[in-house]
Amino acid sequence: MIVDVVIRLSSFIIYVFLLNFFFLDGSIDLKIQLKTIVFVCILMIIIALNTSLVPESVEPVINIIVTVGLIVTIAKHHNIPAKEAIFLTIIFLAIDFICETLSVSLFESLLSPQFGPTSFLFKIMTTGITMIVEILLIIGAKLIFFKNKSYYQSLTIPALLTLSSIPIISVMILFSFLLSKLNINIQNNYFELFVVLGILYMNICILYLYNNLTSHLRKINQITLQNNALKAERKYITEIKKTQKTIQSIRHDLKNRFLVILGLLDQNDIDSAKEYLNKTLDSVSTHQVMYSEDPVLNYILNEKSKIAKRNHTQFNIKVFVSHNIEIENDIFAILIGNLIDNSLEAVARLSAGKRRSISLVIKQLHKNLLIDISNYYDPKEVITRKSRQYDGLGTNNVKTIVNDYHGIYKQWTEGATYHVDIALFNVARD
Amino acid sequence: MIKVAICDDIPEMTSQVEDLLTKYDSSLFHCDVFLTSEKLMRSLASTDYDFFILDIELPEHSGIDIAKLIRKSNYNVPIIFLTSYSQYMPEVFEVQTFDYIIKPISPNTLFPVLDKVVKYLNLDDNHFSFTFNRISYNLKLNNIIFFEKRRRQVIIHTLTGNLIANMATTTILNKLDNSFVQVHNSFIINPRYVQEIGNNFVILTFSDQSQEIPISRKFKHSARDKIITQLRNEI
Repeated sequence: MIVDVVIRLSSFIIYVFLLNFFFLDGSIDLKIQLKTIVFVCILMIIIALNTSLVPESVEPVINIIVTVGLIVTIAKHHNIPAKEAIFLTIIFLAIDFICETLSVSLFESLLSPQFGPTSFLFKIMTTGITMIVEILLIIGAKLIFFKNKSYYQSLTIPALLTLSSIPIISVMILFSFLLSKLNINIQNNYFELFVVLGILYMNICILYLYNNLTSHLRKINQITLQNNALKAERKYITEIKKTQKTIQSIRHDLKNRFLVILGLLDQNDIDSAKEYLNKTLDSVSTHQVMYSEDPVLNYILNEKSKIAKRNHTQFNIKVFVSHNIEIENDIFAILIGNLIDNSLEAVARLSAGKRRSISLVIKQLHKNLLIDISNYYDPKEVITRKSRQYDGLGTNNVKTIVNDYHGIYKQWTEGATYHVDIALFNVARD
Repeated sequence: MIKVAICDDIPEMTSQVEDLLTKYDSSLFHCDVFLTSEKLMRSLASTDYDFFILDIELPEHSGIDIAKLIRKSNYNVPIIFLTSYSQYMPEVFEVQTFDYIIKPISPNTLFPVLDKVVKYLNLDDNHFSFTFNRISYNLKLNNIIFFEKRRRQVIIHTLTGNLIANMATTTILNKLDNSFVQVHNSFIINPRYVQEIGNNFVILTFSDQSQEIPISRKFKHSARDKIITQLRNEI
């Protein structure tokens, strides 16, 4: 009996140090309060009495209560917030039971049946294995998941209930398993009911987690889109400033240009005058074009026009949309941006000497919106494109958005022209 | 012949447009040229034009003002604007512009627009003719919203009311051009009035009313394909 008490108390003391190590985050004053020491000593006395005097059937329950008491005391000593402390207590209990079950199972598989649960070797071995596994698990958990973690009030009650579901059920199942291994009778019917209810609870929690996770992901997605739109708008404003400066300089320059043309015409140098006029027209048409009232759409169309120009691609854009369109402008931008990118890529793949042209029409027909984009492409590509792994990623995004808006997507080819048409219905206010 | 009104205050520009229209098809267009907005506005009271080519930047009344006046009496006639700037103007949308061409005008910029206008005018002018109870009807296709088959009869829903006739579905389809779409054994719709498409229904709106029409599985894919094709003809 004394050996039992010594074994239990030594494992208890190791556990105290282990918990202290886990909760330590470097910022806590290492001075231990007297209150904590007294409480830990009381718990040790309870352990000693429990091991030597209390009947075997009640012993495990008191052990659990003492363990919970110890974890809470040490957590409180380290100023861990209540909800986090509850969660970690449940996790530690689950780890305890996992370690004990593991050690009992290992012992049984290696040395059973010569040594029963009451034998000295059983107690020494199982406690030893439990402590080794527990030390490894807790140190591992600390180093992997809780390194440099400062505990703050971050858990909500529903999150706590959800996150605790699996550890609680684990504790219940492993507890009953251990009791049966130690030949202690339990009320089987109640236990089964508990397990079934626990599994139900666990599944509800998983649903809650799923719901939370998806809404969280949606929010992240939304924030990313908003950030992108914001970036685009900022860039657009910068471009507007640049445009204003360009317009000012063009105006300033215009008089001088007229004088040059007048001079050339005076000298009857028509060809030079024409050439000079064409150059002037080019410089006037390089500023930003306002296709619609939507700054993001304007920005995208202007940017894509620049890319097309760099790639020597003729890009005709016609936009007939009112400010009544109700599609979120970032969604609209993704839709149009992807469609143009696909066309630009297809045109860029054309061999030198072939005509490079893209035509885009965005037209609002009453409350409906029709987007029509067509480009020249190489018909021979249809065969080779199948092997292109990442091809059509943009198209998938486009199709997803069209589906979300219950619209129609159609793509087809006509000779060497590739067409995509999108119809979105009822997307404008009255 | 297609009657065209051209309005621009620069005579060289109107001559160029006229020349290009003749080059497109020497016998297709009859052109009336106006160098001031007032003259065209006065002429609107007495002459019906099939489409308009208007300069936006006119000295007194702009091309947009003319378009607003035209729209008061005719919502569907195509209006094409000529402009020097490709800047967005909300008014251009408000007057239901068919298209715009950025100056300088050339066959490359004008001819595709003329292709569309000719196609649109042909579509706009088609009729659905039938006789019922010894009365002959000649309905403009644009005014027909949908056909509803009920046994041997067909109810023709139009903007001005419903008409009944005895006709088989194949007969109706043969009388119609490709602009109408069969979405169900009992329904043939005009895509121009589509407001919403669901998985198995389509909502048509007309004169502040809405009508839900079922789409059967048999016609689902072909209907969606034809609807988008028809809408494309309107751009």
